[in-house]
Amino acid sequence: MRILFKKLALILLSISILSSCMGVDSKVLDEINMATAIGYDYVDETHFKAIAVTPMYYPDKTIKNVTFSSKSSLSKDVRDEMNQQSERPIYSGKLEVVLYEKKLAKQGIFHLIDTLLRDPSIGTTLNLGIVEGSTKDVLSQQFGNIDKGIYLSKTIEQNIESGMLPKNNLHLFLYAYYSEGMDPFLPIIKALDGKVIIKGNAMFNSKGEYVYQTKSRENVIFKMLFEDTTNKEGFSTKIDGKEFASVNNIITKRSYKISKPMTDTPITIKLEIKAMLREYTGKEINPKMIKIIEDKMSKYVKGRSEDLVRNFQKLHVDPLGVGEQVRTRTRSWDKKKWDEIYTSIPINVEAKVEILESGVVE
Amino acid sequence: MAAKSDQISTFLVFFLIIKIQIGVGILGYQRIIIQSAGNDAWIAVIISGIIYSFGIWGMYKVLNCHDMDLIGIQKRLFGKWLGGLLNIIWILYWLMVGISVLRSYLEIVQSWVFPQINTWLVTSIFALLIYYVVLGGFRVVTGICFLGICIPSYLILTFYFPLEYTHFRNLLPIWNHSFQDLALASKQMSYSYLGVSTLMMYYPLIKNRKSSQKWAQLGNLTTVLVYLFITILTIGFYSEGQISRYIWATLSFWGIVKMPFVERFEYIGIATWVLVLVPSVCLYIWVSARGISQYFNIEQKKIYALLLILLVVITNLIKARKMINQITDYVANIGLIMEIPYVLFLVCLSTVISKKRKIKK
Repeated sequence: MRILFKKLALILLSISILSSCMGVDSKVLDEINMATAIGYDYVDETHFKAIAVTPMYYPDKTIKNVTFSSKSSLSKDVRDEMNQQSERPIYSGKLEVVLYEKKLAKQGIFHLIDTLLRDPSIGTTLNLGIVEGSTKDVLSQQFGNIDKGIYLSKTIEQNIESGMLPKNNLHLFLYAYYSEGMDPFLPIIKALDGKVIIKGNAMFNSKGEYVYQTKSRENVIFKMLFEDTTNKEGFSTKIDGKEFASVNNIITKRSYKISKPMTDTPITIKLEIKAMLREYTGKEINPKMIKIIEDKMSKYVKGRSEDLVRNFQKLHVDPLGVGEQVRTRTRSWDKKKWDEIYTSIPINVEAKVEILESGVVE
Repeated sequence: MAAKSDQISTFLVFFLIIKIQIGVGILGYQRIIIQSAGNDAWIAVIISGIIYSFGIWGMYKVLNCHDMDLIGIQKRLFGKWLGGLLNIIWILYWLMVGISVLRSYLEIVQSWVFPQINTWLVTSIFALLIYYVVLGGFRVVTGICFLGICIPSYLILTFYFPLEYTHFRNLLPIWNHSFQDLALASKQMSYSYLGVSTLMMYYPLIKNRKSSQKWAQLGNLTTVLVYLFITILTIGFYSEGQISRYIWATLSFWGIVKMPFVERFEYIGIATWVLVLVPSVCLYIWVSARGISQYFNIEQKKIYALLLILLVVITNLIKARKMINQITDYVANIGLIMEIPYVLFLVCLSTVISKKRKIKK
């Protein structure tokens, strides 16, 4: 009897403890608004306008994206102001995408990323992006019957997996930002009649300011130079006259040859590209022709890559992480000295294209 | 001498050693050692592991020589007063480590999961749980330590996710830091291995205690390997400037975990960590109670209530990260002196004394 009493007392005690006075507020899914995408727009030098999208799920299976916006200079202030507009509290636990207007990115976005880093409810697989035009255009449109944040993050992820974007997310952005020999980059998107389109990559300098946007032809090249990939998308070159050849399903391997790090001796980036011929406007394909195409393509890749790298050097950005490659090969690493010599080091690219298959016809 | 029914199997020492070494520290030790030794931090992990291996050897040397626990040894070597003072220092040290472990965990809960949690209630609940465990005696404490390793060990699998983002090139060039840097990092790393001294209290309760050293060494080795793995992963996963911003780098690994059925894995990880944490606090409380009961000749069961009240009160008096860090640093510094140099000093002293006794005979 006494044992039973003790047990009962314990159960009652634990119920009373666990239920009320723990100071733990429950967040029931139906009673909160989960922001899935946030965009920041430029207002003036110290202020920005933030816009948050939360999906509303209706009983008839339609999803409506509700937006809240507010102007401030601190992200969390923005959240308070948005909360004043909302019938339920807004939480960021399911945040998928954060977008920044290009104009804002020119001033540096790192002070805005700090809040993402500090908040433990935000994961580091979050996708970041730069928007051409205002983020409002992207976020206030309804893209079919789908949650906006998930739509945008899927678009970016799809392009990372099979398209022309290199692997990127909040973690990798921070990795590059804090790294001594590397600068971050982010995808650029733009609203285009009821859809979004990925325009390329935005390059940031070491201060976290936007400086350059890759052109559409540079994207594949950049991806090949940045990481070892298997890429469904490819590139095309002019063979001669009216004849064009195009390849896809590329497998690239990239290696650095740095004979004397931290000096002016040239750095060589070797690219080995294995690809499948997808399209050829000439007459017939034979081994001799394939050899010609391979040579032409190698030259094309080499030329484009070197142009791109030169461009980066001129702008003093290093999204490829050449500095990291040097840093891990030398004992005399000195960030200041590297910054000085980076722009003047000759960086060569050696490209070797190999065509493995030419489709189902000869 | 302890009754046979109170003793534990020899191999369980393996789990007790791992349990006490892997606690809350593993969630965020990387930042400190990487700040000192950069990409060579993993060498520091090995060096301090070897130092601890020496420490364990020393402890066994002393314990085997006297065949009693630390309280008895100090009484025998230093007499009533000095020995007594040293005993009290040790007991307070164990208690404070237990408290700082619990407090550090609560800090994690506060900053990651529930910022407004009522710490008094949580610590009281923990205290009840710990009370229930330690009342069962040392065999139950050992059992919970065993489970506290087996159940959370699945977390090792979650390190598969960061592997995708790991740049192993960051480990290069090997050994580009000075000896001073490495020595400093090794010293800082040693804090993570603290706690082995509890061995000197439960030693009389091990079945074949004289031959149990290999299990203790194996336990230490396993801990080193776990730390080594996580350190190498950290060096590859974060860039050096990035790591200095993360207070809990291991927890931040879980930010990259993406599974269809769970959005934020940290919450599961932190909840699982209760199973890592409670056993070590239990062991610390048991050890300090054992010390008090041996020294003051009080029945051990009567002391727990007092110790746990102390645990709850002090844990709640420590507030804010600055104070927590100060106290942890303070305790760790004392621990570092007591667990290695002091133990080696005991080794010398007891060998000299035993030789003198032999000559007298």
